[in-house]
Amino acid sequence: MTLRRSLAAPLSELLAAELALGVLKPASHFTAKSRLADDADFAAAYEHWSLRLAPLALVARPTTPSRDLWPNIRRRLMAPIYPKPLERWFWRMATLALAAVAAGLATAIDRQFAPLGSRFD
Amino acid sequence: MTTATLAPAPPNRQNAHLAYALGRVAAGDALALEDIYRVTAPKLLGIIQRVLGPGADAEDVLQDVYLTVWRRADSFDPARATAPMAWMAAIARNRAIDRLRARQLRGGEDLDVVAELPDDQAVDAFEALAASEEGARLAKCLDALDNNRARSIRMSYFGGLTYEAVAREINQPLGTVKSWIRRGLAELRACLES
Repeated sequence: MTLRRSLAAPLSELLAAELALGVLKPASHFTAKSRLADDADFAAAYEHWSLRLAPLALVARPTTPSRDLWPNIRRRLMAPIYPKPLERWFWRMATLALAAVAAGLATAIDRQFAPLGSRFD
Repeated sequence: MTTATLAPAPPNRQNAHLAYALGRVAAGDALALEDIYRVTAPKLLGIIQRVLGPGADAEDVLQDVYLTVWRRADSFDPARATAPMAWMAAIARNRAIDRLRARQLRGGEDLDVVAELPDDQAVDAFEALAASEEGARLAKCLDALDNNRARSIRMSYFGGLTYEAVAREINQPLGTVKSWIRRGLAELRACLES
């Protein structure tokens, strides 16, 4: 694991840096982006590089957006495809509770069959 | 300097305010997002327009940025050293680059188009970069790089340029530019982490 990581890291680290800087050609850019979803290390490296370079973005001159922009955003926030963070929190808690019940059940079943298994107790 | 009295809130105070507001957004407070919007939208639009140019596309990306902030406010961790403004700037710039590359992928955009970086903005850029602690460190580390490496990295970042576009812009072989930027990035990282 450690060896694999030490060999693989430099290449994906470089790709993350290139992606954050934005130097990749359109097709390679989106190929690299699609990797973010299922490679947590790569995603973390990308975020880290994006933040490292962010001070360069912050020197941009401010520009006033059109007046209807915020009302538009607000309207989109209220659309059902953007659940409020609290609602997500609720579902997360509900999922955890369900998982806890399932785990409890599993333990109970496990206990029942304990004599058959190779348990330490 | 007389301009000092006209200066916006110092970055530290602004960041503290934003970090608090992001906490409220994470709890589902849309008013807090509006508060964040009022404070940050002009800057974020400036960032996006530098990549995409002015127009409806830039404002569309700006909307996406705030929807992303709404969804991901709970992933902003104030305990980490990241300033909220830098966190949002990174989201804005990444979204702008995504949009630019999507446009180019559809073939609707000439890859040779280069966002202009006027000289006066370059001067501003240097002063503004030195204004925050992270910016000052980044400026110092960029200055420590070989001039070609630093210049290519800046060009790419400011103009949203690919390797190919940088190479064309400064009339150098693609392989040379790639190696400048890659080595520059590796040195930059080492310098920032030292």
